[in-house]
Amino acid sequence: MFSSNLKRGSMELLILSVLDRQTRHGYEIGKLLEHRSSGQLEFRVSTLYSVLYRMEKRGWIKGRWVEKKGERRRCYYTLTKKGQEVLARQRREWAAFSAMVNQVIGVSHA
Amino acid sequence: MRDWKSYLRQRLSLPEMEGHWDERMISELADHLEDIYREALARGASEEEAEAEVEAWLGDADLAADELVRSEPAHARAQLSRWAEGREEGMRSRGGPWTHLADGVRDVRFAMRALAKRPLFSAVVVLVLALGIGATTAIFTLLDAIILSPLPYDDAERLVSVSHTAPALGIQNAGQCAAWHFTYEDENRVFENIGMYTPSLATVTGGGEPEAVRILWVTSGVFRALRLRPVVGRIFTPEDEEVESPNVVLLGYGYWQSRFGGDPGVVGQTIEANAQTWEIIGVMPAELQSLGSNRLLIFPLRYDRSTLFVGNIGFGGVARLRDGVTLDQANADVARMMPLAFEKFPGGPVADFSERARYTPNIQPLKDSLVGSVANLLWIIMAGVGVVLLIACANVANLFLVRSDGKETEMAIRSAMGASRGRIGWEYLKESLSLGVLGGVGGLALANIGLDALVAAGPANLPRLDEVSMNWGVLAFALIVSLGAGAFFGMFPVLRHGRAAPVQALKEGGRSGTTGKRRQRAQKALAVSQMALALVLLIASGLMLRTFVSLWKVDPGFHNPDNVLALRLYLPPNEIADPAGVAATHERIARRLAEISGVQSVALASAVPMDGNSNVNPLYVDGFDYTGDQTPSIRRHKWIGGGYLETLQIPLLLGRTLTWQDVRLRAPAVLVSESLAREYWGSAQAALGERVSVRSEPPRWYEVVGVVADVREDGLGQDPPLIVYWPQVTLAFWEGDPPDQVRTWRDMGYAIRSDRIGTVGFLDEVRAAIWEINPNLPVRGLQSLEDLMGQSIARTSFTLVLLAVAAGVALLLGIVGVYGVISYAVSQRSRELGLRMALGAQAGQVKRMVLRQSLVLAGFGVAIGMGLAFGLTRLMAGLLFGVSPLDPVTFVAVAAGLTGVATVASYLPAHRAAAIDPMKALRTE
Repeated sequence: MFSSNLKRGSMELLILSVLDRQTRHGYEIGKLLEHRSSGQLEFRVSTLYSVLYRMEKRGWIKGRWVEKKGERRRCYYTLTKKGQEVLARQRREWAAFSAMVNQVIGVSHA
Repeated sequence: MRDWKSYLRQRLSLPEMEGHWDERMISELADHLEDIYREALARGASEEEAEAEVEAWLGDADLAADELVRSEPAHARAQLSRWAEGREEGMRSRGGPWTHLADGVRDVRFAMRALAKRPLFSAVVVLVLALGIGATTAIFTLLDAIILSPLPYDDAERLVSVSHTAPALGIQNAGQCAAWHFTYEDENRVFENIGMYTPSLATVTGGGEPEAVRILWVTSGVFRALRLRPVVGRIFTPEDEEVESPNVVLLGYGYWQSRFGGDPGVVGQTIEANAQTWEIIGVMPAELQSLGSNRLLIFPLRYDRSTLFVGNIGFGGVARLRDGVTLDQANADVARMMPLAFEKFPGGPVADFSERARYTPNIQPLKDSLVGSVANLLWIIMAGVGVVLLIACANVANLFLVRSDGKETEMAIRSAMGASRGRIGWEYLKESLSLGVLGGVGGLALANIGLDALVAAGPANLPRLDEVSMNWGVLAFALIVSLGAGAFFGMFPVLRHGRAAPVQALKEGGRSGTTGKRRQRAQKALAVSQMALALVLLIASGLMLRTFVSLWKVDPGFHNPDNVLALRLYLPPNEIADPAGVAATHERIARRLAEISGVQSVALASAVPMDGNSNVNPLYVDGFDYTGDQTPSIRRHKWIGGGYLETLQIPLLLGRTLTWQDVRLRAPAVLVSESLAREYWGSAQAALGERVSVRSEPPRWYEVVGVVADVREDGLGQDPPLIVYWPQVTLAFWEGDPPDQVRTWRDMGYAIRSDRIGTVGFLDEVRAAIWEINPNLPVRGLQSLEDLMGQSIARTSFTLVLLAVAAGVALLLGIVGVYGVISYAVSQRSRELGLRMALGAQAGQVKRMVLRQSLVLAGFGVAIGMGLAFGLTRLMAGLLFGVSPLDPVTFVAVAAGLTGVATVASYLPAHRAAAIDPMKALRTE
């Protein structure tokens, strides 16, 4: 439903928010995005992981291989301190941006 | 779990990635796909349907692979590496010598990869090298532009300056005069073209405030000799040099840009200068600046040949030698023509003197006459930064020696497997050369920044500063220095490991034993050499510092120069025609300036001390015999108004000063300097009442009424000249003047003493006071006497600052070197020191042992440095003042200081040694 540009531009914010206060692996992240968006956000596997690796390179998240009892060895991602700051900042920017766009195009809240 | 890894490897063509990222990606994606598959099965899908769902989530395989490759952390680096690999393959496929080039590209690639794995080490080395190479390149750029490059003219090595000497009068470079110039132009056999020129000043009006501009008077031969073409319009022709020809002028390039906006339509416009109208006929290129910087207007010299005589010497001369003519031949031909000048242009007020002065030709390469005096200074600074580079290389060599330990085993294995010594050596060198080149790139960036600062801070009298720029020669120099530095410090591990037998090296594993001892000796030798070189540089800058201090301590002859403002005013003939009027106007202006609030006194003089203006002429002294071969000596002359001594606070030793009364009455009274009094009459006392004259037929005697203290007119570093102070206005002063001829100077210097110098608004009040008398007078040369003093030692200050900075960097690098060696030695000896302490050695004893080791190193470094300094500081003798090149105080102080600093730098490792835990040290392998 949404254009790929719009999805791509907000992917980092979406992933950061999903990792807020919680460690998750890649499949979990994808499923959560799909679930919270009521099925409107679906990403190719390669797209999801390429964004995860980029964010890891920037130091926003950290990936760690963990073997839990009875489970396969998985790579779990956590927000770093820097990632938390980025999340807070991007949340503020998104709120301000969306309010401004709504104002310009004349969309008001119910 | 299905084998999704194989599935992914088949579908996605991921390249091999650094740090096995490809493996990680495959693993994670495989897990993800497994989850998708299981979820599909859990919903009731068949295996085929579940697989289709996995395919759908993966999407386009090529797109997926591209996305993943781009997200890899070392993607950019990997892209570069792949590009280089591609080029390398291309070269190899061509065969022949291209294969060697391909090998070179591969070696550089691997070297860069190895350096990237140790980013801190590489960064430190590149920074240290960049400092050394940058400093050396910046100074070389100055040297290249000022000393090494030819002048910016066609066939510049054929250009000569035409001047004369009078050794009997002690004049090295008297210059040229019109009579000689025209004689050489008509009669020579050696010059293709010859010209004459003189720098001067003109008042330009018609555009708001009157403007004093720097100008050049030239004959048309100057352009022909230099082979200069105008940028627009035309240059002077011989017709323009005829006395009655129309007024024409050329614009200097800078003036054309700044005042006329570079408009080519400027030809045909007019300009008002020196109260006359001049038609602009063209614009000269910027290269003309070599003859005198920042000359805004160029006027034609015009002479009525019938009035010329051999005299009024002081012009500049330039000529182009004919092909095949040598300097000796040129000098000989000029010597032949000099007597002809007296025949072609006989008579004149100084003919007799000129003939008896026995001038001789002084034809030398034009470049030498323009830049010769500054060459020594630049070479010394170049040597200084060269020393910094050597120390930087020694520092890096030490780092390389330490690092090469880790490679010893690897090299031993290579050697055992058949690699030649050359191949092993190349393994070390390719890294060091790569670092050298990276350091060179960093150095070029630093040099660019440093050069801007150097050119801005350089003394105004440094010639050819406007020609300083980075060119291909400088880039080539930087490349050679970078590769040389890389080869130098890369050789150390090569020499060390090249000799070690593989078996021995493999056994020792690079820890201790013979190779360890050799490494330590090499490191100590490097540390000692760094200290020695740093000492030489520190002594050199110490000597310059003492020179600077000596210069500032010199008694200039005047006092409290910070409260004296100097300026110059020129009264043009169209404003005031007659000399009496000129003198009266100057006096009016001086008195008006004295009325400004806060002004204590005002002086008037043809030259204020150290303002660069001076007048020299023969001086006849009553009672001395000037018949036969005896010629009067050339002395310095100054014309002053009332209040000169009081304003400049020059002590009057005996007699009285000159007053405005003397000026108005044209009194035949003079003051002389103390050294002139001693020279002629044995003492200041004996000079009072004696008589002097500048003319001899007949002489017009002036009585010495006062003797004043010597003044260093030419700068703090120059001896005070023997000088006569004449009244501002004189009668029948020069040879041939009729008895009622009033003489004075239109261009006069003013000195204003006030506590308000440097305060806001004072300069405006000064200008307003002058313009109240005459609004058309441009005020020039406004600066304090203290600034003039500073400018007189500008070159010394410049050299001092550069050497001090170089010495500071050298000291830092040298101390870091010593610290590094001692620190490393302690870490290598930790087991031994631990054992000593376990056997009863006290912490204090261990500390003293380490400090003693450092003192020995410092001692050797200082001793060798002193030896080097003894030999090298003599080369600086020309730059020093008031201090000998072997000054013991400087040598001892610097040696003691450096030893102290080295000891302090070793304190930390010594402290660490004393804090070693014996049990831990003994347990460590």
